[in-house]
Amino acid sequence: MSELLRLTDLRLAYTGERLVLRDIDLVIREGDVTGLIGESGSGKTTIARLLSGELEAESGQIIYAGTDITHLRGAARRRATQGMAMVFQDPYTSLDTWRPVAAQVEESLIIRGERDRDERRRRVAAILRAVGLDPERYGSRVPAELSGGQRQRVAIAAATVARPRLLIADEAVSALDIPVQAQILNLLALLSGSMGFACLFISHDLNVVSWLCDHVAVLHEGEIVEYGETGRVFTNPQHPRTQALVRRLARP
Amino acid sequence: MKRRRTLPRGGRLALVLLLLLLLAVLLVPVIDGGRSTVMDPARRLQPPSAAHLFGTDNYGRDILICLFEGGRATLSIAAGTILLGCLAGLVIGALSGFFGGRVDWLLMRFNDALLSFPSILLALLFITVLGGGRWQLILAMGLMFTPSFARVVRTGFMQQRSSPHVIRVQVMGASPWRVMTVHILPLILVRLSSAIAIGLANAILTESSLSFLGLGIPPSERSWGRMLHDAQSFIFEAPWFAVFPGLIIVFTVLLAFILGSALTELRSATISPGDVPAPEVAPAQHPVVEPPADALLGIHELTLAADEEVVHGISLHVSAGEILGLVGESGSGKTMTALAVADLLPRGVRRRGGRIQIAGQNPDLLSAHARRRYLASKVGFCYQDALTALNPLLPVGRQIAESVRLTGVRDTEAIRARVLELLTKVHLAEPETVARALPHELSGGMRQRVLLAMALAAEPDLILADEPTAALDGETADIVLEELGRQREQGRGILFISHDIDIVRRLADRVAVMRHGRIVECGPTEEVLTRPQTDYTRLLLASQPSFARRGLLLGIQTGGEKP
Repeated sequence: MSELLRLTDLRLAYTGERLVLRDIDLVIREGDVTGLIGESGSGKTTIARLLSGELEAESGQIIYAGTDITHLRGAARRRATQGMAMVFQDPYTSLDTWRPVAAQVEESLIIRGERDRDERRRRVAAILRAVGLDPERYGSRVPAELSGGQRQRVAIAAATVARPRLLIADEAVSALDIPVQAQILNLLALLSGSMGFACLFISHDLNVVSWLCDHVAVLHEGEIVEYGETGRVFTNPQHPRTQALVRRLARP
Repeated sequence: MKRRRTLPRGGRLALVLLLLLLLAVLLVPVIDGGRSTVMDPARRLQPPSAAHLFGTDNYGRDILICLFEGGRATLSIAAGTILLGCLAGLVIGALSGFFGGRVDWLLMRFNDALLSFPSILLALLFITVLGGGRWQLILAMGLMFTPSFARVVRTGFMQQRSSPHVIRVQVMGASPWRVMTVHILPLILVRLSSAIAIGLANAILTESSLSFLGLGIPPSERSWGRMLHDAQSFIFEAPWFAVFPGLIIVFTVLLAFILGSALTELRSATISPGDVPAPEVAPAQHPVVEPPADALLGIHELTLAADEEVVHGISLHVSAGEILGLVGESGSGKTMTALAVADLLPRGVRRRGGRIQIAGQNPDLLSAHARRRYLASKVGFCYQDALTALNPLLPVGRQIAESVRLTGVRDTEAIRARVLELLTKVHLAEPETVARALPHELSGGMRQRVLLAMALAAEPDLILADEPTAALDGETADIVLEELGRQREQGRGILFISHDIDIVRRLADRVAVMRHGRIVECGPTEEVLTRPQTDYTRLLLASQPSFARRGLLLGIQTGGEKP
């Protein structure tokens, strides 16, 4: 598979003091689900914010689909990052409180320039069904009228309706109860399989990452200390940090 | 399902009455055709009667009809003021909030200057320069109202600009224009709606005050304030002349305020956490097992209720030297159960039945004072959220000292020594430095250990640990868990609440599975987690993601009934 995202020597410091990220190198290929795992403060979310354009790297490169987007801003960035979508931890704050969920999912298609209204409606209904929400029953509800798991389904529908190439999921299942988390994980696995999008799955939960991801990158104090296929990382961890993580998992 | 977007009843009533008033103000003078507002000295200052419900004024005009006519000026000036203030506020606030930085600084200093100048003086200054009159009033008052609107809009923009929702649509590729108009502005308008209603009330009051002082509407026109001005000279001769304009001002302003606060409520109702869907079928309760006579904590058929029952007659026990893991989803009643044991139930949640026995005593039988002392000496509570459970303004050493003092230690040196001992016990390096630190200067893991130290201060027999590791990273979580393990070795009983089955598996001797306020399964950890007896426990276990389960769907049970 061809390369979709490449981070090279990415470096960022807050207020010139501590380095938040040092020399981050990471490659995600088309269709690849890569887990980015690390403890709080390790810099996971900072990487997501560099990708979303909220932060700008001090040095290094972010190449997405062949374009260097490191310092791109405005319309040029929007053109270059077509196909990126995000899902956050808290589906409530990442949805519009006042709009029916079907309209919010449709908004993604409007943004991506789908002019045909009937086509939009058709795709919204299809994706809502795909995430397990009956469009007739739930489409006209506002987020307050849904449970936490249903809201996260809407957030995933809004992110995937326009067929993304890269989904950035920042702790997307961390706030959910185990049975609900299981449903959302199943959904992400099925959607990434059927739609073929790549995913940067950011999480602190090794169990979740080990279940879902093709590749794992372990982030520790702003550095990627280990990267590899999930199976290899879990059976034969190289870095002491990863070994400690895996040992904690394996404990009876 | 109940819609949450409807206005509270009081607000709806206020809105209807305001609309009726508006209709009357618009229509009545037209229907009357000017007959009742013609000057007629013969009808001068007549008291209220069937012909003139509110009486007549000094020129013999019907006051009721005059009020409707005067309402046109008052309400149109108020509306014009708000429209102007709101539009100017939107522009200033949006520019300020959306661009931030230097633009924001400049606009906000201008705003502050306007705000710090007494607004009525500002309006007076304007009117003196421009002269009285409808348009001059709107201009002067609009300027006066702009800063408050600008502030509301700016705050809204600031909050929305960095919200996950806006970032999400930006990443999708939405243009700044679309982000602003489609995704931010509607939310700002919701915020503005209550500010508009309250601003309307203030504008009516300001117009009335200015006109009453003779500075607003010229004598040739009529407004409610102007009528009050005219009525001054006849206050003893014809009190109704002043009373009715006064009443209608009060009435309208009150309605606008009610509408405003209802709109505020509407706004806050939408940020409440979502409703948890009610259980399809009430799960079966695990059969009541008589606790052993020497159980440290015995809970017998405990029922808790807020608006509705949240815990339905559950029974549990914790023995000395034992950790009971209480697992379940959020909202299943785990925390409420622990709070009931510690007699810390939040306002609005009551115990509706059941018995709690702690170290052989039923605390309910003690007086309030004795119960507090008893619970303080027997029960240590370790909360989940270490940042909110600590006082942000006190060094943590002082807060632990407070818990030590409650155990009866009085000597300052002894308390100090005990605080350091407790901090060492929970593996905090440099306990003296930690004791002097404020909560925010510590990491999450350190704060959680401080809480544990506080819970241990009284050497309690029973520790209630409510998700003590939920916010912690692996290694720090381990330290807290190991300390709990050591406390068990020392013979303490621990009720360990968690949603994490892995941790419970490692730590607990027995486990109780809670769902929708009922205990569905309870038994030795090994037994419950390897040979679960209920569908729900099986579902929980099958939902746990792991490396071993790769490639299999989660939550699907193998060799069990469907969930």
